[in-house]
Amino acid sequence: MTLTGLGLFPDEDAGPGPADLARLRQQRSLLTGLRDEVEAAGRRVATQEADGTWRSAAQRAYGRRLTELAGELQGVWRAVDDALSAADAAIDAVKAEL
Amino acid sequence: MTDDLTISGGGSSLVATDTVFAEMATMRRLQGDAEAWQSRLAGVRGLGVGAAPGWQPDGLGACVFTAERAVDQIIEHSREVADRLGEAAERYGRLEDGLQASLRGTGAWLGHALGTLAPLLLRSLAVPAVMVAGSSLLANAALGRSPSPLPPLVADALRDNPRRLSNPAVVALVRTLASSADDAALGALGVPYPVAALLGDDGVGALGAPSSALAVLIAARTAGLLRETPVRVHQVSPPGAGRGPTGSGVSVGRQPGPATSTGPGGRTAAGGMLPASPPAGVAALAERIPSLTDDGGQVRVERYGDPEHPSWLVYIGGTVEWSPLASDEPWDMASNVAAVAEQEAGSYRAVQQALHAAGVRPGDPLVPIGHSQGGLIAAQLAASADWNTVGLVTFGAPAGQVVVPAELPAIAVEHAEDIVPALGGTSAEGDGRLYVRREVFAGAAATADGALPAHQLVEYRGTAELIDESPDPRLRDFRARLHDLVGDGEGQTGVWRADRVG
Repeated sequence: MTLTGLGLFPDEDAGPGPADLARLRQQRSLLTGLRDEVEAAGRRVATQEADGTWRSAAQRAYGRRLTELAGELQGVWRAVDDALSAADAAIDAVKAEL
Repeated sequence: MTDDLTISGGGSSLVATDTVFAEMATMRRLQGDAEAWQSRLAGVRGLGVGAAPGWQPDGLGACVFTAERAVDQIIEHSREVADRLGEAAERYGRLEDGLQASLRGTGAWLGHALGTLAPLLLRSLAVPAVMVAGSSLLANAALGRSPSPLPPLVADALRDNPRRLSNPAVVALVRTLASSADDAALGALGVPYPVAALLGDDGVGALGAPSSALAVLIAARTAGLLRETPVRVHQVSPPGAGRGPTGSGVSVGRQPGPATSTGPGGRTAAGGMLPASPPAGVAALAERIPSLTDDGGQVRVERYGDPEHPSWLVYIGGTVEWSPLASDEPWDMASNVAAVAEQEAGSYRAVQQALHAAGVRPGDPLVPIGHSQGGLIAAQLAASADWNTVGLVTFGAPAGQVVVPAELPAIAVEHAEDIVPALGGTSAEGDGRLYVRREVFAGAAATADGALPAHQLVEYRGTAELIDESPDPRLRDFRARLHDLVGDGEGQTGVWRADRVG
C-alpha cells in the first residue's frame, strides 16, 4: 500500500513517522470500540424484532421498520469494519516504511 | 385475561402499553447512540484520514465517509420511529383525556340536574323506595338471610353475576358518579349550575369525591353509622412466620414480643422485629401486604439500611369489615368513608401509631404500600408533611383525589374491572403518579371469588408480577430506586394489629 499522496500525513514528502503510527493506532482503537457498540445495538434491535407481542397491521408495519433498521445497522457495522481494515492496512504499511 | 399493561401519567400526557413505551425508549436510545457514534467518527476523521474520500474506495477516509452516511440514516430513521410511537401515544392520551373530561362534564351536569329535581324525585320515589326496602328487610329475615334493604332477587343477581359490577363501563360510570355527587348536592341546595361547575373538579377543584364522601359521612353519623373511635396498636407474631425468604421474603429468627425497646443510637425501636430479605420488585411488595387471617395484623413495617440511617417500608392491608355498624375493627367502612372524605380515619391513625412504635422518625425515608383502603391510607401518608415519603405503591386504591407531591416516584395499579379505585373519583389536578392499568379478565371468566373479583389482592399480585417483567423504562426505574433504597442487606420486619377502643 502506498501511503504518500493520500493526505494522511502532515508532511508527505518526509514519509510516515512514529507519530503517524500512534495516530493510526488511536483511530483503530476508536473504530474497534465503535464496531462493538454497533454490534450491541444491532443485537438489541434484533431481540425486539423477535418479540411476538405485536398483532395489528400498524404493529406489523412497525416490525418491518425494525427489520429495516436492523439491516441499516448491519450496513454501519460493515462500514466501520471496512474502516478498521483500512486502518490495519495503513498501520502495516507505516510499520513497513519505518 | 391479558398481560398488556396500559401506562399513563407520571408527568406525561402519553398513554400506551408498556411495550410501546419500551419500544419508544429503545428507539430514543438507538438515536442517542448513533449521535454518539457520529461524534466518534468525527474524532477519527479529525485525526487525519486524507483530503478526498472518493478516489481510494478501500481507504480509511472513504470507509469513514461511508460509515458516517450509514449512521446518519440510523439517526434519522430511529428518530422517525420514536416520534411516530410518541405521536400514537399522544393521540391515545388526548382521546382518553377528552373522554374523561366529557364524562366528568356530563356527570356534573346530570348530578346537578338530579339534585335540582331531588325534592320532586324524593316525593315521588320515597314511598315506593321505603316500601321496597322494608319488604326486602322482612323477606330477607323470613328467608334467614342477613339484613339487607336489597330485594333477595337483586342481591342474588349481584352475587351470582359479580361481573356486572366488574364491567369497565360500570367502573367508568361509578368514577363519574363519585365525582358528581357534590354537584347533585349543590343542585339540591339551589346553587346555579355554572357556579357548581366552577367549584367542581374542572373548575377550582374545591369540590369532588372528598366533599361527596364528607356529605355521606355527616349523614351516616347523624343516623348513628360510620362512627370514628380512638384506636390502639400492638405488635403481633405473624402466623405466616416460617414461610421464609422464598415466600413472603420474611424469615423467622426468633419470636417477637409486644414490647418496645431502645435501639442503637438511643432511638426507640420495636422489640420484636424479625429478619427480612429486601423486596426485589413490585411483586414482592404486593406479596408482603398483610391480612388479618394470614399475618394477624393490618400493618407490616420493614426496616433496611444501617441503624443510624434506616429506610422503611410500610405495607397496609385492605378493608376487613364491610358493615357500616360499629365494631372493634379500624379497617372498616367508617375508615373507608372518612379516608375518602380526607378526615383522619381510624386506620390512618393506626398506621401512624404503628410507624411510631416501629421507630420510624419523621425524617427517615419511607415508602408506603397498600391495597384498597390500605392504598388510600398509603397515599394520604405520602400527601402528609408528617413523613419523609420517598415512594408510593398502591393497588386498587380509591385514592385518585389524594394530592401527592407531583415529583414523588409513585405507582398506582388499577384493574379496568375494579370498581373500588373508581369510588375515589377522577385523578387530582397535577397528579404525578404513574398509573398502570390492566384489563385483568378481558372477556374471560373471573378467577377470584367474591363480588369484586378484580379487586382481590391475589389478582393484583398477578399484575405486580407483570410489572416486574415489563420492559417499560419508568417501571424499571422505579424498581432500581427501590433497590437503591433497601439495598441488598438483610432487614427487619414486624406486623402490627390495630383495634378500635371506646
